[in-house]
Amino acid sequence: METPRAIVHFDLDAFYCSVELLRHPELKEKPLVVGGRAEQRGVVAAASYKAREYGIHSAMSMYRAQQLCRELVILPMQRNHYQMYSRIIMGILQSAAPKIEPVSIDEAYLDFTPTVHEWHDVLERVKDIQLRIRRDLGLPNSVGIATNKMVAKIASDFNKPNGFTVVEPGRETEFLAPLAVSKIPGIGPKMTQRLQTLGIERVKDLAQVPVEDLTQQFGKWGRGMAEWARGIDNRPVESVREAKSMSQERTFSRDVHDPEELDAWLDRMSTELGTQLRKEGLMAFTIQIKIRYPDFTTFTRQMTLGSATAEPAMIRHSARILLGRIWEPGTPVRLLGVGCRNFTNGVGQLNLPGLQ
Amino acid sequence: MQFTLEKSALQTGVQKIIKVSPTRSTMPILNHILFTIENGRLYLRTSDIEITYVLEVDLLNGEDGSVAIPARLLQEITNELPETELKFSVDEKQRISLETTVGTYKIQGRPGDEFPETPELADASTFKLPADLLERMVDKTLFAVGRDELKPALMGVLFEINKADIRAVATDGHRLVRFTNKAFTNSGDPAKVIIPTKFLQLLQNLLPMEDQVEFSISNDHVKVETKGAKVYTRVIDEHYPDYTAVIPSGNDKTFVSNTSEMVNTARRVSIFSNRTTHQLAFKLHPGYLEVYTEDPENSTSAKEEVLVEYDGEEMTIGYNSLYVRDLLRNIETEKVVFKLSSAVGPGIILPEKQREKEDLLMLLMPIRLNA
Repeated sequence: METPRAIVHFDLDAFYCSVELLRHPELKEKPLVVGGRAEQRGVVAAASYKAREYGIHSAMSMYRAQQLCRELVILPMQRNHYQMYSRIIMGILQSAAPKIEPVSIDEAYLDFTPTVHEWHDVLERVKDIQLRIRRDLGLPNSVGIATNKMVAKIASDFNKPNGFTVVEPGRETEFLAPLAVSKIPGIGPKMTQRLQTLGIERVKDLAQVPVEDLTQQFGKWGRGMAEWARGIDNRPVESVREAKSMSQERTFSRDVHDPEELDAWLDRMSTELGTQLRKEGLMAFTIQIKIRYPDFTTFTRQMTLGSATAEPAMIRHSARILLGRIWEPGTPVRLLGVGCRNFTNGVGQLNLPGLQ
Repeated sequence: MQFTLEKSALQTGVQKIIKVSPTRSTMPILNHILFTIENGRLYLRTSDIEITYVLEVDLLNGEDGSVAIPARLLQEITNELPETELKFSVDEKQRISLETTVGTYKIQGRPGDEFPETPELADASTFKLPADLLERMVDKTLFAVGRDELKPALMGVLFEINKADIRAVATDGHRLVRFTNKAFTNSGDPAKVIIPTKFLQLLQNLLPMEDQVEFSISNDHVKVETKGAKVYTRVIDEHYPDYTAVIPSGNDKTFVSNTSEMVNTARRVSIFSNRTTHQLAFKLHPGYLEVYTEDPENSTSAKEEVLVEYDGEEMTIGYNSLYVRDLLRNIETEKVVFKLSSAVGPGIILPEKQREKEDLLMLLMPIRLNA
């Protein structure tokens, strides 16, 4: 038999609120939400566990949240702050696991398969990470450990906050059986309703429906659901994000023909691009530029580097070379852009797996 | 308080211990050297709180007492003075008068008791270590320590003192060195400690002077004592990662090459590599290795071939040339052994033959090459 994969879903509990509590520890016992003000038609972006006791949840209108709880403490979003913590945590995860796929600011999948001799070895490793982030950074988090992404994700949600849920290899269907079908990511409220009309409420009900019937009813979704219900999910943890690009471009208020001015723009856009890349924890292999002339003809040129970069100087250098290839000095330019794609997350230099 | 000593004795002493005193500190007392005379013997002391250095300096005569003297001033004047006797007189307000054959100098000192105490090593385990062994352990590992303050445990060398061997480990997360000496025996308890980089750099300057050093480890401090000198450091109180789990066992793509040829090739080719990434590519063929680099930014590239003993399949792997050179510099044998697994897995680098009773192992992580 193939050795089972060791996949972890890592999820920070009420992340924005947890970060705010680090800044305002005195609010610990208070129902707390982060989000926009009610007067400005704001919504709840995150609710602390105390606030959830009142039935408040994210995406609820702030007006409604205030109705539910009179002494609700509302803090405005401090996105930079949350991003900073997120970067630190993703850095910790990255150095701890051989492969990490960040899903959002507060969530990531980790794949420990290549570095564990026995499947159960992963448990200690994850316990360490969880403790480190909870104790050293003061941020509660929940983890699900399983043999694939879907089960790991459901497991991490199983016992929040500070959850540590393990679904051992071979136990996937047993774990999923009693759960409501809506627990499966990918089965939304609409689908849940449709399944309900067919008498399918729990995952075990879904698992009993023959694959053919589901495919007939729901097309390719049916096949997917049949697999999910049986605890099967072969998606790899992907550290390289694909088919994405980032760019900076400027349409000038008047056409620019001065090489120095264009160069200054390249410089500025490269710096912005570098900052953006670092914010996302990405490096790019391919740098491209775009140029549009007053008659709206547009050209792009690109160059692929030997190793990925997030370095503004490197981006600028490449962009200059590219500009030299398509721009005749003195020709007026209407728009200039610098972009990059072909990303790899983290650095080109790889880390020793599991060294943390 | 009065005392007299030879200029050269003081100058040598100051040069050694001033390395500890911080150039900028929020505690002005730390910019001083503490002079203490006890039972007719003179001890100089510097400290940056983390590290404390105590050095005995020959005294011609003097009475017991203590005073703290500004370190840089003392260093500058001892460097400029001709060979002479130095007579220090200190009044009750720590005003110091330094009399020499060429002139008299006035310095404002500070009370000796303002200076931080030397650390107490409670329940320390102490053992003797040949100075050249300690020096070798530091030399072999120090270059690989981490500098990332988010990973404090890696900002020092892990020393593991076992019953029948002693081991030093350093890693920055990209490369790792493990050095073991098996000639060492220890009758005391095994101990593990992470020793900060700065302290080990200091030891490198201090060490060759003695055959034996006394090494003491307590919960929070390490002391290294040689004749006339004691150096203390606070240890890095962190959990060192389990490095044993990182060392791969299944690396089956082994190639052997001449060490100095590899060093020379790596040095030449890396001149043409990108200044930011320092990236080199190794393309392994049966019988030879292509080392090449390309820097589109400056439109430079380079390629060399080195003969290697290898009969496996072709593979290409990227490395940071600075790391490659560091690791190769650590190899003393004529030939070097690389054991690789894949383009993204850790490579093992070993000397062709280990020294007697010694084991040196290095790991290097690749750079991900663009496919």
